[in-house]
Amino acid sequence: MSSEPLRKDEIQGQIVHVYDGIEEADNALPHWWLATFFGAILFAVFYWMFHQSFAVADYPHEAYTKARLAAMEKGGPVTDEDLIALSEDVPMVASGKAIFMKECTKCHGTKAEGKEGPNLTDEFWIHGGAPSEIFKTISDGTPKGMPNWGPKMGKGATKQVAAYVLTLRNTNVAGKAPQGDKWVAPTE
Amino acid sequence: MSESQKTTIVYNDKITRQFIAASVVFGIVGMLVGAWAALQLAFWPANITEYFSFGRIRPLHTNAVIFAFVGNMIFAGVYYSTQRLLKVRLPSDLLGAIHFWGWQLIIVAAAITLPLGITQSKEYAELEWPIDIAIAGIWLVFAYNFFWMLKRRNEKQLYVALWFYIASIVTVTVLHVVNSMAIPVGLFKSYSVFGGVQDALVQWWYGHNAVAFFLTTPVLGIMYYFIPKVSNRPVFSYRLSIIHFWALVFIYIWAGPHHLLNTALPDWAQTLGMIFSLMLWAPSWGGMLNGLLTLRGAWDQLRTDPILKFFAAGVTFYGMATFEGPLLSIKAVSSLAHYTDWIIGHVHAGALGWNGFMAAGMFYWLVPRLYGTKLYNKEAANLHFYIGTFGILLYVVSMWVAGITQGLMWRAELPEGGLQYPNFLETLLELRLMYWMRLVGGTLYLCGFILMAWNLIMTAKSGKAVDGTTEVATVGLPPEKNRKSWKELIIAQPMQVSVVVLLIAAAAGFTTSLASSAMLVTFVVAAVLIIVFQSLKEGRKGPSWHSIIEGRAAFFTVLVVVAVLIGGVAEIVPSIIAGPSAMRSTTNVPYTALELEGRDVYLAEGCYNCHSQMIRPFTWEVARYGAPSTPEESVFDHPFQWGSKRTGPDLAREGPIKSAAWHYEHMLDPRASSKGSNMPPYPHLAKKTIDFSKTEGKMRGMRFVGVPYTALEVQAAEVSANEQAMTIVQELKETANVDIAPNTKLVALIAYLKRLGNPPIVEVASNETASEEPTTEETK
Repeated sequence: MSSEPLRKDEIQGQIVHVYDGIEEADNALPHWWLATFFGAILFAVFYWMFHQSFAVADYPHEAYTKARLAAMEKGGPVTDEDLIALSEDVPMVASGKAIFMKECTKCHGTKAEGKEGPNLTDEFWIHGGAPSEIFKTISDGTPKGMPNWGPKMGKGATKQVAAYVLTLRNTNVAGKAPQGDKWVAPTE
Repeated sequence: MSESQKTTIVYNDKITRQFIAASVVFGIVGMLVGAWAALQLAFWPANITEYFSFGRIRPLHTNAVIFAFVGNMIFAGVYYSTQRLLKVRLPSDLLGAIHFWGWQLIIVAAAITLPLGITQSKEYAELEWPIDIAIAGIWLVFAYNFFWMLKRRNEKQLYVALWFYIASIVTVTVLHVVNSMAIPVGLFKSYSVFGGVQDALVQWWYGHNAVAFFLTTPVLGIMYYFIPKVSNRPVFSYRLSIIHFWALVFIYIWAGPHHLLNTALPDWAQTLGMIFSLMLWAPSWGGMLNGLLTLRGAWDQLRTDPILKFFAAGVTFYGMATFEGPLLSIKAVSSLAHYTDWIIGHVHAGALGWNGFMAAGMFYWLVPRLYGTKLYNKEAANLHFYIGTFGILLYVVSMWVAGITQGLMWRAELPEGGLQYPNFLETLLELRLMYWMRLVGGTLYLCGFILMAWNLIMTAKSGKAVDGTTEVATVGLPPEKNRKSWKELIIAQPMQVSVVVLLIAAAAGFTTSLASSAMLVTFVVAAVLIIVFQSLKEGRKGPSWHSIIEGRAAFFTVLVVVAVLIGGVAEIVPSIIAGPSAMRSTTNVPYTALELEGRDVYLAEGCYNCHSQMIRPFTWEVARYGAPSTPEESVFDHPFQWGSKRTGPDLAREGPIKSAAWHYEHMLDPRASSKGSNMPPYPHLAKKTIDFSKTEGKMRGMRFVGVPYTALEVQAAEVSANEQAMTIVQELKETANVDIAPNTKLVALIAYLKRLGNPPIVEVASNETASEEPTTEETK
């Protein structure tokens, strides 16, 4: 920093320091910049108080729990009758088949004849053969490797796939050997 | 004073020339590796052998561009400008040479170890412990050189560029040392002393501030030196320098948790991370303003001078990235952008636009001066600017599109519930075109950079190396009249006010009431404001307090350390204190010997570069991956593996979903089970083996960092690993008719993957563990 009197620049105004030939002016801070500076600090204080001090708004985990509870309330339980009705509904089955072809053939084969997963065309079922049990297996998955498709596809699509699977029952495509217990439709 | 008793000082500019050369060479290497990584994402066959698969290439790219390219560039700029601003030659040429060659050796060591899979698997801190120690040593040599210059300076007052250098040097030291703390379990293997949530917090405190104090503050110092030099215009505002400097160093350090929004991190820490990121916006733009407004009266030069074009664009990109950063730190925005390519775009706006262009501007200006000549080809420099800018725009826009597209697809839910795109691959395949576009953008940028390298070499060849000189009237600083003691400086009004406010704030922080924690933030913020205002107000009567401390290098440095430490301590210490009790109270069970080995395979292959293990609490995310992740699930993870990017799906609950046979097939040929996937194949895992006799040592290391393995478990490591491996081998034989050796890496990895989200059910934990560990009574 030199000790000689410092010049005044036409644009930048009075020079206050010089270091290695670099001049330094001392202009006032732009108002809009100050507004963002103080604005962000004020926002920070309010946000903290809003969430942390007074817990007015929900944190992500709280908001999520509430949303889950609300979703569980929606729609009644899935019954055997519903699904049997659906399995006779051609557009519904077609839609279920489309999903099956896209998501399920990897493990169950293109004809549902079974690969890594069991053959779905015989009368034997590992996790129960009642329509609602099949829906449950698709929806919740199994510990052995069946993913829980319910949350992924939603209740509607899961119902459609279950409907399609019901149409495959006892078509006996040659494939994987039967697994599980024989299921017989209850007689009324 | 006007006596002609002048001494001529010759600067050591050789070190600047060396660092520039190294920066250019490693810049090309680092960007080339980056382009390779980009190619791998678009075109999986570019994953060549296990050594150059994406999981190892990506850390190589980030380390090369951050520490080799920008690192060397910073050192060049710091040595050049510091010698001149302080009118002193680098005191020891030998220590300068040690710094230069030591740093290059570290880079070479990184380039060898990372492809070999030797990694701590903490982002931007991957290098293993022997290299970490070398980094700390060389960094201290740098610090020693710098502070020695400060001590022997012939210019009393410190210019703003030097403030930024001081902040960078001390903060990087702290960050590196703390985050790298690990227990070695071999020459090239260590486990972080931090685990789970704790490690997440420490890692992102480091990761974010590596961006702050390695990529930003030193380059701001360089901006403050070179922009006024090149444009020959006065710096816009001294007082803006003061405010934005202190605000930046104080606030930056708190912002790390914005990398962990909506995760299992405690909410208070997430909120702090978010609000401090928002407060960071204005201080960052303060730097941009001081850079751009310095060009007032020089805008016409921008048309003709490529160097100013680079600087103006670089600073503008800085402004863009530091606006985008706070935006992305808003929890709601983060819920969309986190884990996507938007973050990659954001980083590159900063890295290519700010770091790359500031480096180019500095090199184009320095090299002709360091070789006493003119820039060889100005048109080529202009061309570099245009293709570089076009490359950045292509890169950033493609990543915006890719990130936002994928983020929206992930969260798309059907009206009756369920996902619109339940198949993860569908959301990845949608981005293919953008991945190619990114590659084109990045390659263009690299071409511009190579053009610069040629231009600089031709410039250097056309001249001869010259060292700058200056004349000083007297060597050493004259003794001061009325020198204020450090005690007087400490009890000055600005310090009084800030200490009182901080004490009140701290007191408020230690009471349990939530309202008092609100007071904490209010007071901390008030403290910053009051310090700033006091430092300005006093300017009217005599030298202000701030201008006095600008002449007191040691005092100034201590203040910077304090400002930087406050945020780190406030955020990290609570989790470190809570750590041991979290480990004791958890119902989670440590990994088995084989799972631990499998986890080390996961780390070495760099799986965390594409797979997260952290499910956020959103309905669409839970639908895809399962229940939200809890802090307990990663409590024994040293280091944590939450990840930051999902090029592939989250794996936190992968265990129960896929069979061993599926994993086997998927690892050998990912596309057999996942058509269109860009995952590298891992056939070598089925051949390479693990020496289970070393597992015991690893478990001992884990025990040392607090994982509650019993002595029995540690001793039985080898037997247990073999037993568990045999069950997997048998399962593979039965279900897939596959023959595989039990001690292969793949078997261990399958054991680990099957464990994810599938912890064994603990029976009665209380009495059993107590009898294994000698209690205090027994030892007495």
